Amino acid sequence: MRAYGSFSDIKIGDRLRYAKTMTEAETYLGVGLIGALNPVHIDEEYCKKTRFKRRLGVGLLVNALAVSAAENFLVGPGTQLVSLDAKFVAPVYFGDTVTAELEVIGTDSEEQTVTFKNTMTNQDGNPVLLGEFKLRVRGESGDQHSQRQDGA
Amino acid sequence: MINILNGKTVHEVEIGEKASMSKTITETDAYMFAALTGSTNPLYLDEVFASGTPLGRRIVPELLIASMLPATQGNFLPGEGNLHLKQHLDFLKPVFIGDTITTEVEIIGKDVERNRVTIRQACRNQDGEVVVTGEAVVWPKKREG
Repeated sequence: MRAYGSFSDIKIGDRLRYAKTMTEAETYLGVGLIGALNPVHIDEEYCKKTRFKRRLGVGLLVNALAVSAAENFLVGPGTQLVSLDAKFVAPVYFGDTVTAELEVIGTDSEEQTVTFKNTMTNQDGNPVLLGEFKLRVRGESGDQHSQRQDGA
Repeated sequence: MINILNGKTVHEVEIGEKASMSKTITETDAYMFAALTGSTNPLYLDEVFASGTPLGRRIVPELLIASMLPATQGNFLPGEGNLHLKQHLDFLKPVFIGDTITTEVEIIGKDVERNRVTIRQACRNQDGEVVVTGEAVVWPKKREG
């Protein structure tokens, strides 16, 4: 794994793998922050009557791990999310270890954006989330931060 | 007593039905979300760095704002018990600490056979500017019994 400093270092085909064990605490703090009351995330007794039998993680919070991994390791510092696509193909349960496999599938030097393919699997190797997202990168020629420091 | 367990089935939702909720996004929200998701992005966390960019100050993690959309769906429309199957999002404008975000979700399609509902989504700030747009496919809860 290597940390990238600037846009020109990023190449199509670059990959990153990042794993995290998803906890009950993340879901509970997360639903509090976003104001979500759906019992599928927080009501064990309700969930016993569903086909999943247990409480489920929140899809976009699972996706956020992959975005953070890309921000932290591939294209930092100071990225903005431009767009995102996700298919939530299987539930994530508390205690599951989710691995995000990211691959750079597109770069646009004019927009200073990088597009990642995102494949997330659980500890059994089963896909839980499949998608893509695009980040806008600051750095080098597009780095208004350093320009501002140098000039204004 | 208001029962929050009032989620609608695919038969009950109507095309054009809308729901919304609002929240003023605090620094605490932004920092806790960054911590939860393992983000070290200085645009969220470093005022000096962010003030040196055209943004001018720290922004709120985009997925925190976008996550209010499935929250709106789970709370109100189609409501309790629905599951999120598919999501597209476009982030059009930055959100800053202290902004008040209002979500809007609208039913734009339903497939009774496959038990799926398509939802058009938007988040606006206090000035009415659209900051996020999206489209989701969800699986409403099935009728009891």
